[in-house]
Amino acid sequence: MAASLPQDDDYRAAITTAKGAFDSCHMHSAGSAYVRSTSVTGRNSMSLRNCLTVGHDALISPLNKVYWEAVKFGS
Amino acid sequence: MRLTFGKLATATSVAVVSALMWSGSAQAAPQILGLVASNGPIPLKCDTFYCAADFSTFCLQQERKGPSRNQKYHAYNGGEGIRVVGLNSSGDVVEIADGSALDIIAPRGQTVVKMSIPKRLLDKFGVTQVAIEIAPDVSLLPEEKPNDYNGQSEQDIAIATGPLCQLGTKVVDQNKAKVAAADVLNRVITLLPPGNRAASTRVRDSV
Repeated sequence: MAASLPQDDDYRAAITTAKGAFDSCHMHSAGSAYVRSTSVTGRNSMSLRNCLTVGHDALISPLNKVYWEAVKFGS
Repeated sequence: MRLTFGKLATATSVAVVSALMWSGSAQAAPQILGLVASNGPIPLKCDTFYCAADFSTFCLQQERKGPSRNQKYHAYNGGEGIRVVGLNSSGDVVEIADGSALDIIAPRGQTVVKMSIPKRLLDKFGVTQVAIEIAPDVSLLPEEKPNDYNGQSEQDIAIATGPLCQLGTKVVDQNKAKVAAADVLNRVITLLPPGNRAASTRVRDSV
């Protein structure tokens, strides 16, 4: 039913963007990230989960600004 | 200096209201949120008691404050536009509920909500996997609190869930690549256990 992602250009690009978020959270590849993150505890590092939420919010927050501008100018 | 009873009463009222606001006992209702439509069903992750996943949202009311941590929300209009579907052992897709059956919280502001259902609901329908589908133009209302001094009026709700939400859908549609990337990240975040750690630079470099 559910686990597969939609197969379109937006999602193909999305995987690259998501991988960038992984890399910025100090992970080398999407494939090994989960395994490594559960076995490695780093001092002064945030959880992988929390790190990825920062990546998520960095994508959505600018959209909200675009939306507010659209509301302001009535488009 | 003589203090009249009227002035004393006014000063006391101001002090009490200020104290209530400061303590958080009285507060304005937070923003209504727009839920980003899903591109197909998004799987939930189950633990012993609940199945849950993160979903992207956007703020529909800039003039109101954002949701406080774990603010509760309800799907507007009885959960219309949200489908909870499951896969039974025969491989058939079963519709379990609409959005009214969901527990919804905003864990970190206006950008995301966590939606969950009790796992016993899966057992009731003989379902082993569960997912949520979200149609366009779905809004989430903050749970009302009896001491809200600036609650959401019917007019506020009508404007936010109507034209403002539709405008939000338009903005989302114009930014599909970013929204898709946020969806991918949400799916990964949902799968990760809360406590695991990212590797430190020191450990990473040693690998």
